[in-house]
Amino acid sequence: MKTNLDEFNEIISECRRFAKKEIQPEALEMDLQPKFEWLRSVWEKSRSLDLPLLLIPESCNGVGYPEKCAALVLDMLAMECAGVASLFAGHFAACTTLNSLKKQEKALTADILKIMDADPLPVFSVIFPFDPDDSSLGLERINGKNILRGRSSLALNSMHADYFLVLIQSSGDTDAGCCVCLPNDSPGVEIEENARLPGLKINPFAKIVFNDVVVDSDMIIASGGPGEKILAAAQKAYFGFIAAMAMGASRSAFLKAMSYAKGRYQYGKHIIHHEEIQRMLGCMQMKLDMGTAGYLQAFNDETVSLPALSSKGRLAKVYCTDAALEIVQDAIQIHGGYGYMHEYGLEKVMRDVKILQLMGGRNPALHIQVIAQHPVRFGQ
Amino acid sequence: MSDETVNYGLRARSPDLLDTVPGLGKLKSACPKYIEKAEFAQKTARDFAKNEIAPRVLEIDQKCAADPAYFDWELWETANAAKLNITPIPEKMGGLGWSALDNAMLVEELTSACMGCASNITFNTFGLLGAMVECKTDIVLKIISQMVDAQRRSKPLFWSWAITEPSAGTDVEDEEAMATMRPSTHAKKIEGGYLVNGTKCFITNGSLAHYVIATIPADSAHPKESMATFFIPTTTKGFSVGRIERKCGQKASQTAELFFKDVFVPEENVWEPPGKGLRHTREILSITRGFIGIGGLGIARGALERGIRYVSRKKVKNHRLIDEEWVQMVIADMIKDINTVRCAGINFAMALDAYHVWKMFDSVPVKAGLKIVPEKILLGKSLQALAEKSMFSHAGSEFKKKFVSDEQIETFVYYGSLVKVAGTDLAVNITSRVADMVGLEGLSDQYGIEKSFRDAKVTQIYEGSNQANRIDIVKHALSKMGIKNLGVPDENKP
Ligand SMILES: Cc1cc2nc3c(=O)[nH]c(=O)nc-3n(C[C@H](O)[C@H](O)[C@H](O)COP(=O)(O)OP(=O)(O)OC[C@H]3O[C@@H](n4cnc5c(N)ncnc54)[C@H](O)[C@@H]3O)c2cc1C
Repeated sequence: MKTNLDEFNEIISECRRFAKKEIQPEALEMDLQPKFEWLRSVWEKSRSLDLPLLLIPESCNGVGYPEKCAALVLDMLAMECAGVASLFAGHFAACTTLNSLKKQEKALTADILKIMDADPLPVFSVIFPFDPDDSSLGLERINGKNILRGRSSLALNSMHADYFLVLIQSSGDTDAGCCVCLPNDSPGVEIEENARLPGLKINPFAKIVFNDVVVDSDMIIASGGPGEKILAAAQKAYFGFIAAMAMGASRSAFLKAMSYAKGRYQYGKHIIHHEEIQRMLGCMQMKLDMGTAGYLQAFNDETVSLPALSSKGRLAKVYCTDAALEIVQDAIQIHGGYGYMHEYGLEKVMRDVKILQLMGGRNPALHIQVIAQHPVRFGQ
Repeated sequence: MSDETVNYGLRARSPDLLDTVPGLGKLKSACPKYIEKAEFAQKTARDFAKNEIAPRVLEIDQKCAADPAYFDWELWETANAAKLNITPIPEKMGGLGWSALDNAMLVEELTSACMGCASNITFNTFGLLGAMVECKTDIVLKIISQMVDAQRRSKPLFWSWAITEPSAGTDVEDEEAMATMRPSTHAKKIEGGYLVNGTKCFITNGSLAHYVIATIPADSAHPKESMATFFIPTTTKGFSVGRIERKCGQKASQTAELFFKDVFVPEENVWEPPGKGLRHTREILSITRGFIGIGGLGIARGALERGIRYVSRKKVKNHRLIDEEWVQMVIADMIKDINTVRCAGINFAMALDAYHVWKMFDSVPVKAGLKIVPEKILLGKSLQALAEKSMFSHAGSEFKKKFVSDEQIETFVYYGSLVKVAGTDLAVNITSRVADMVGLEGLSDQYGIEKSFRDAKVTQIYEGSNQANRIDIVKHALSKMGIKNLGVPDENKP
């Protein structure tokens, strides 16, 4: 469906209102003492804005909005808490995965999409093959059964997901890429301990172990060629979503720094009048603007064809998360000692952003991948 | 792979001072004892950090996260038994007689294990530093004997240095800024002393302190001209501790708010009279800023050490993460940055030994006095009573002035700020890059890398924000170049 600018702006302001009302009052406390029920209640309340159904096609009782719109929603939610936003990001990535199926497979997907419309609304998590350990995931056919085994890398929504969408990358010619959907209570699915990362604490990461899980054929959503395509589409969207959350989180840090600088008097004036503070704020504004433009561009289907222009979601993720960390660290600096204290909320944003920076792979390695995985671009 | 196989940082062959700063070899041949002592200090500190701090830092951090008032007394007792909290006090008087260079070794090693724990052990020298500024013989002797006595009896004796106020952080450290400061504290002159009121904030060890050294203006309208330094026992009526802050990192070190309500400070506890408080602050900063830079270096080195251990074990497909070229390039760059800042830190520490208060310990009268006078007398009541006599009390101040001039203080604020900015920017940069290198899993709290990342940021803020430090750097450097009266007239501003 076509969504015009006004509609986008309306979504932005509604999500902003929602985040301020439902997320902001508890976000800091939930960072200290995460209560999963609280996150679940925010999830349920977000139904009033149809957020969980945002990316589900209208034909399946969803809203059918484009991914760019989901990114804007994440940006707004992350302004109050990137941890809360990340729950939606994991879910949206799952919806993207399903939406990216080829037309003829839509009937099958519709069944799964129906699950998404259940009551209470289920949360999805996508398991990406980002950081394969010694025992990465594999789907094999043994005695006529599909057996999923292995251990995932750290997964988003691990503690909250009702369903896992497992993306398996092909390794050589042995097994082609595929996508499997599993309820979290399937026999053999084991969620390991919370990895205890310093950020996004309300939505902890954990590895998921699949101990010879038998997968029904109709839960194998795609395999072979389509599996690879789904993987690529899901990754692209996921990277864009991470970028959007990073911008949202740093957007709030920027705004806080602006307002603090206007009120803090030091060295004979309000510190916003010191050139160095203006330079810092200007630089933060630049990164925010460029990052936002970058992630929005990553969701544009159509773009001008300038030479050497790539619209890779992963580069938007790298740029936006790196920029976000710099913005937040400067916002803390502008707050002086207060910025380092939990109650000011900025140090939490720094921890959250650090995790966003590492999600989906290490940023320096992603730089390498962008070139190395596309040999055509350098003529080989 | 076992921890011991990564021969770096706390697990490096010890001492390795001459491997990392080989130029010191030249100095070693000229002053072998000076460098050998530093090597000994490095080994002592490294062993302590490795055996006592490193094994419990993560647990301490978690306990402090749950309760910011938690304090690990067991670690403090072990450090106290090793005299690591009174290192600069001469050996003859019960300390370790460590030079500034030796202390730089101590700070780098301890902070590489944990900056918060290191603060708990080393920040106590604020008491000594504070007393050494005016250097009245009786006060210095009293402070030293109290510190040594407490150490011997294994009794905690904490000092806080309280300059920051809710309304003034940068403003309490800089002359130009202080002229426009809006104070949150006030000292009213009354008969026999001062009545102090107001609030100080973000005070390290404020909640544990037995004594607070506080700068407070006597005239709120003219803070620069009336800033004084007071020595305040925390048992004084009207003194109380507010909230212990919940911080991002360095949780093992407590940061507290202090309240003064009609606190009476008798005349003899006025360490600097109105008008000289800022000078007192600047002298302390001229020493401490550089050491904070060295602390930043330690944080960075500790993070890199943990990072290298992680990437050399982490398997990616069929290789180790450290086998990847980009990881090696990142490590090379970090080693380069760390080593560069280490050289700067060591240079700063040696300059303190050569030209600042440490030079006094090396002077003939002090050396001779320490040699001749028996230990019992040095710390005894009779010498103390003699020192209290005006003539002798001022002798210390006069003697010190010969070594440390006002100009030198400002030069050392400059030197210290260089190291402070370099070391703390290094800490923030390296801890973040190590995190980027190890990835999501490596940030699990069990590896301590995320703790280094959390610990680092505040080093750019305290001991003067890095912006305030840069102001000191540029003012001093440009004035040496003959460029003065800086500033764009308001009407020309964009
Ligand atoms: C964990 C911790 C421990 C501490 N321990 C102690 C302690 O033991 N004793 C003590 O007295 N204090 C202590 N402090 C306080 C610390 O020294 C101050 O936080 C610091 O000096 C900065 O002051 P501020 O926080 O008031 O920031 P402000 O001075 O308000 O500065 C706010 C921002 O404005 C910037 N700024 C100010 N003036 C200028 C200018 N002219 N040009 C450009 N930028 C400018 C600053 O760089 C900063 O970014 C501690 C702080 C922390 C966080």
